Amino acid sequence: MKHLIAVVFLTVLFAMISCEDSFLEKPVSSDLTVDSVFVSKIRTEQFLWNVYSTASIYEFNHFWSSTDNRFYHYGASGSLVSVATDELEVEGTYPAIPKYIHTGTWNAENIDNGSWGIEFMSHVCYAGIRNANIFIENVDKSPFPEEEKKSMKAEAIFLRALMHFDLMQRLGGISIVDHVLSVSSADDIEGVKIPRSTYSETVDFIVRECDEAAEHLPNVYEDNRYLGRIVKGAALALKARVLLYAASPLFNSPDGSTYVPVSDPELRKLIGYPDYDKNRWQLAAEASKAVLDWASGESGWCKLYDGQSNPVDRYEEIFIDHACPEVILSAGLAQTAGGYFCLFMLPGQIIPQGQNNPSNHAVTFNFTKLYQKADGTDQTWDETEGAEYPYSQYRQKLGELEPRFQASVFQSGTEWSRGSGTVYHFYETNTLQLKDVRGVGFMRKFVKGVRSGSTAPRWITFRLAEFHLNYAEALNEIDGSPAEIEWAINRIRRRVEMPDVSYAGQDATREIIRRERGVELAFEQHRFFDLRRWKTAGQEGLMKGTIYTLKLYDTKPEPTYRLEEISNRVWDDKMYLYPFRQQEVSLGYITQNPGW
Amino acid sequence: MKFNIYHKNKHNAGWLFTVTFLFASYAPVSAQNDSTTVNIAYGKQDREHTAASVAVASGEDLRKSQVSTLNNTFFGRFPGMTVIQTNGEPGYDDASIYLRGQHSMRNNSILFLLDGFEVNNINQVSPEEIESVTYLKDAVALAVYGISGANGALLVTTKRGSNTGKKVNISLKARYGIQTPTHLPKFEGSYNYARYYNEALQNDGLPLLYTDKDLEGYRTGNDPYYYPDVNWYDEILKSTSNIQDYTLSLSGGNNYSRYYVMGGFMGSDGLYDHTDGKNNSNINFQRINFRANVDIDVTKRLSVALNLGGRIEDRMFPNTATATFWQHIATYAPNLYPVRTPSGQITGTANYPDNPVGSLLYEGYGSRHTRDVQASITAREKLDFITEGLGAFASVSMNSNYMNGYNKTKTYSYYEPLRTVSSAGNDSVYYIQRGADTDLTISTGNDAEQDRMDVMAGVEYKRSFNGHDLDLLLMYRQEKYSILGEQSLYGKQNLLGRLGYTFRRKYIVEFSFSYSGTDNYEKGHRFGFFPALSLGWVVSNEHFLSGNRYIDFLKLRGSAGLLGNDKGSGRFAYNQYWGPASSQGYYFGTGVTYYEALVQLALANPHFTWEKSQLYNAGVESELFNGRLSLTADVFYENRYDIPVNVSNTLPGFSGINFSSMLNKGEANNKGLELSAMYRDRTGDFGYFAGVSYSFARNKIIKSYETPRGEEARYTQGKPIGQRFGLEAVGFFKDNTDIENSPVHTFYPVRPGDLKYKDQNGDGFIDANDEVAIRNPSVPEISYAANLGVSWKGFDVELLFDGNSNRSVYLNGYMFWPFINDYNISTWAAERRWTPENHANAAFPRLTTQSNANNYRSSDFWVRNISILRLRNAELGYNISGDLLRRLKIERVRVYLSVLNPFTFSNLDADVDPETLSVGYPVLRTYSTGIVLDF
Repeated sequence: MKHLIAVVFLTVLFAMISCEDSFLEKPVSSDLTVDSVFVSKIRTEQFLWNVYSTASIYEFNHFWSSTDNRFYHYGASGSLVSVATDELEVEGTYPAIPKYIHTGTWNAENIDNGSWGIEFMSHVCYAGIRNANIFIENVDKSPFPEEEKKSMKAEAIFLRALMHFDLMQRLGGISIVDHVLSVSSADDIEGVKIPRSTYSETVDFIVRECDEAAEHLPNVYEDNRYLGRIVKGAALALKARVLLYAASPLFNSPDGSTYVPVSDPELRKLIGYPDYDKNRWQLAAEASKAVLDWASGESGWCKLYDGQSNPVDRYEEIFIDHACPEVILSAGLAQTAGGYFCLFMLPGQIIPQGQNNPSNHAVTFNFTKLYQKADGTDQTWDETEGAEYPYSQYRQKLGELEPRFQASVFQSGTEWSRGSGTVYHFYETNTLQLKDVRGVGFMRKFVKGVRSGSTAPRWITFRLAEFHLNYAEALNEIDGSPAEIEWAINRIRRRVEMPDVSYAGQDATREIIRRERGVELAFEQHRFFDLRRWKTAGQEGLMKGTIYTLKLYDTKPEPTYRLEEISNRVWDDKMYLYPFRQQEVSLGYITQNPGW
Repeated sequence: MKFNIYHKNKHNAGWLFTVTFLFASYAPVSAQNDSTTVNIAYGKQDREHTAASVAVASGEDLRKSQVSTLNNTFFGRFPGMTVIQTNGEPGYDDASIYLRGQHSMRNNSILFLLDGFEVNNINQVSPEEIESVTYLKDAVALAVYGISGANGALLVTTKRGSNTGKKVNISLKARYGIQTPTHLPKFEGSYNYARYYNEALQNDGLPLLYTDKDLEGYRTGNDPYYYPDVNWYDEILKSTSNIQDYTLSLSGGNNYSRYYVMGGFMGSDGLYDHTDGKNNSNINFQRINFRANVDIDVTKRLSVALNLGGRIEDRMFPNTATATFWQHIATYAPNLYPVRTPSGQITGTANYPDNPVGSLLYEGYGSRHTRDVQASITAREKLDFITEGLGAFASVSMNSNYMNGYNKTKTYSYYEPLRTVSSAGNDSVYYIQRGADTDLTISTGNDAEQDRMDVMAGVEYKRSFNGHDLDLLLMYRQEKYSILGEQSLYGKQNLLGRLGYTFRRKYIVEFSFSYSGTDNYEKGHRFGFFPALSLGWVVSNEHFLSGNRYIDFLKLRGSAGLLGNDKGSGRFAYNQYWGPASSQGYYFGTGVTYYEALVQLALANPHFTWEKSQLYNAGVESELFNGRLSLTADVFYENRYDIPVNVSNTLPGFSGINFSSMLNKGEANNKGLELSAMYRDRTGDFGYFAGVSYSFARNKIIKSYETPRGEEARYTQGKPIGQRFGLEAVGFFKDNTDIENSPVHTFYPVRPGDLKYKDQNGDGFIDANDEVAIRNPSVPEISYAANLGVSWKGFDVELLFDGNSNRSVYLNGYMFWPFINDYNISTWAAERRWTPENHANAAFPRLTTQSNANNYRSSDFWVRNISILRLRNAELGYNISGDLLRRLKIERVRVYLSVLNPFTFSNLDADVDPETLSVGYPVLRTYSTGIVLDF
């Protein structure tokens, strides 16, 4: 009996030791782990939406908040990247391009400075790539039927390829990340320091990925509620765009020269092809043709938009109609009322926004000159800088320009919402902040009829018109059939009821194609990269030098306008490619682009 | 003073005890104060039989400082411990404690144990109920705490009863003190404020604000409403506040049971004047502590110990946060507004609505009510029938801490004074009402609760035979801990042991270990083994020293071991979590439908583990000259590794890992020493003692995984934890030529009188890349203390000094930025300011009204090395004795006067408290008087 207590002590002691295992087990909770994500159809799908969201196909950052860095990487802070080209000028608190890119003060240190950056944040792109890789590596565990798994995996593969393209078009050859990188131990740290692939390898990777994705992607999703998911055409489109870039002079220089002198042969391979190969244009032409063929054949739905009774409405509607059959891939935007979309995209205070400091995208005079008159001839622009001209002349000359100008530019003396009867004269002093417009007019493309509370448009990544122009451009470089070139360009022109153009020899036709491209794809984030790949960004008046406007004055008895400089932009040829951020270079595994 | 070493030497032990009795303090009522043993982890050890490094202070010593928070009594009491004052707000004045400095960049929090059971905090335990506080320093002392022992531990042991026969020892203690700020900064009055403000505007190239007429108005002060001149300290503060404490304790015992029972009250007031406690409140902190420790011998073999300790803490305070409130008092300009309108209404402006008097009196108050109970029962069985000296024990303990809040809130209308000129052409002021009066609304909340349950069981074996002394412990401990609002409980398990062996009282071997784990790591990686070994040699027991006239006791010891620190590991960081995230979804469909997305949350580290510490310690303990002089010295070296660091800055963006990624890759080391000496002697009625101690600890970051930088000098790696960085100031700009000939200062357009910096990287620009390590780290490397006492007959005097050195403070914020937000200017700044005439002697930049980012940033101009020496406590006591007392059956009466913080010396040239920089509630000086009655 006396000993019993001692025995109890010891028994209790060892009983407790033996139950160690369960004592420290984490209790069952509502936490989700990788095993509970990919065994569920719903959660697997939800993670795919996360891949969509982070491997963003938004081509500008329409929304951000301190906790949400999805949209940092694509496009400039507070404006379209077009503000860096001759297309647009902007003024406001948020836009970073006027502060850093116009002044030529952007560099490796400040390229992603702060939480917003200037334009583009490479590491955020890679966050999207990481999510795509997670999905690709785990989707096979999910309970979807095999076919659906393949198709969903193809979506992630496409998005991963799109992110790599996103990086490549700014940086040249980049680090290719095709698996999930982990850093659970220090040994892994070296493993995640993946050096740059050559430009050639990067192109090949993306093309290969597009081919693989195209094999499994559907032509259409049966249910319209999935509009915006990746279809086969998107993979073909990305491939076509990548090959066009790869064939272009910046990367495939006919004389082998680089945009700034480069002596290191390894570096040379990172920023483009060291040698010229005309066949790259051939590949580009074929890839673009494949998109056109897919649209007219296999897709069963994709075609140039031909609705509406007049060409102005028709062109405008492409960017407004969510179900526009010309759009191969687009992204839904969340914000309308009071959101950043309104803040950045709408002129002044026309639409009550609940936000101060609108960005006011204004169309420049330099770019206005690209538009022909509706009859296919050039407008006479004989204004002298600083001289006064009557307002009526402004109205008349701009009014004569072709439908796409009318659709894309909100000019003084017109309505914002057609048929509303409210005409705005920008020289008038009012509370709408229109008086200080710095351009010929405000950008209205994408935002026709958009106002507070209305549904935002979808942002277009690929639309069929681009591939007509890609096709024409590539064909022209390989001395392709003039009839085929004319067909491609004039399909675009006829849609907006512009007269046909004719083949005029390779050089002249190149200029025609480039001008047509500028007009058709205005503000769609193409020109910023097109001028680079053409190696023309450094030409006066494009991304360098003086940008002009037609400025309105409330003079008496009649309002007047003057040709005035609004911006003077610094360009350095090293800027054909972006710098890698200094933080990466300091880690010692990235070769910086030349000149930075 | 108890950190010196006693030993069991029959020859002079009694003598020593007497000295202790007389000079250090009264012996506690219980007879537990056996100076040859020391409370250590899970037990007591004979000093002669241990080779561990510990420091001990008795409750009797700690109670000498009249403060409301226990760790404010630690100043100067423990060699190796640095104590820094944070503020003096009653109930919220916890000091910062550093044990041998800092060890980890991640987490340095200390382990606290109350009677062997872990608790979050010991600060509200009353010193009256404490027998001793032990600071465990070295590996062999700490290894039993295994996974959570590396940062050092403080053990509080409460008093217990002893066999007193029929007698009940009754002790009554009462003490009353008045508190007053040790220091309040001086600010300028309206006239000077206006003059300097104009000077600042002139310096900024801005039009002057105050006309000559204004200045004259402020100078004469004839119209206190048009030209107010308010010193907010005078308006808010009374000159003194009260602190008082009373304790009654009973203890005793017989052959079968022993008990110690106490109840105590402590109350401390704030310095705010005119409060009524109903519609508003002064700061107020009241605490009741109670305790019953009972030991019962059930049978010859079985004994049971029951501990019950609890406290009630009630705190009240005005609704404006104390730090903000004191900022307003210090900084609101004297001419901002008069305190009240002529009709007695509170003033205020739209920009400065928080008139301090209004904030104090018309916004209600907040209160917090905390209840804490720790109860434990331990059964102990002697297993002599198996072998002599063997025993087993088991115990269960609970600790519950609950807090709730009760707030009364209201707003009041205030009146903005506006200046105008009357129709007669005279200056006049009218007032417009802003805000509205509301009734008091009552809200409750701020609930917090923590509950802890510990279970321990084990066997022990203690025996001496034939010159062998064995002391063995093997036990198991487990703990569950919950925090209100958290999903999972916290669990810990520990199998620990200690093997002490002494041969012929000369050679000591002590081995201790823990096999311990927590639920916070992945299965299979939850447990670690933490062993430590120490060796000791009691040289004085060797025959060649026996009988030595000078050396009474001499022990050499050394220890080495491995310890862990699991604090600083994120909760279940090994698990990769996924979950929905707001606005991370995507939009599909013509109707733009939102599809919610699931995201991978912060990156897991499946191999996450605890910090590890290899700790080496060597020491010597001695008593010389018939016990007059005792000396102790310790040196240590610690290598801390597996410190969690965020490596994401060293990862390429290309990893796609944009969020923090914690890896156990950090490394730091720490080394130092502690010396202490005590000399005591007595001739006739006259006795005295003098003790000094000195501690030094210097750490260094070995690996930190920082953002790659171009400038080597900017890395924290290779420098101490808490190293300050900043620019190196080389003086003030003399004139515009000076500015033109200097590197471009990029932070802010500079003018003459602004700070000029050294271009460290030589790029021609002064920017963040020119920052280098400046001055000492923020935590002192050196601490020192001295304890002096004399006695003559019934009188005794004791002085306790404490200080620290090798640290720096950063003078920034409102105390040093005059006119930012129109804040007041301190007299200190005004006297030292740069003017063209004072260029050579200036010690403060030119005055400016702008947020001058060039001047007001970290640089060695504002970061100053400081050393502090303070007289922490002085006490004069008288012990009454005589026949009268005996007839009244009173054993002892002691009356005393003491003063806390009478003097602080520092080399900081600034008109602020050198430790708190006068931010928040001031440090207090307390004059106390007390009485002790023992029956």
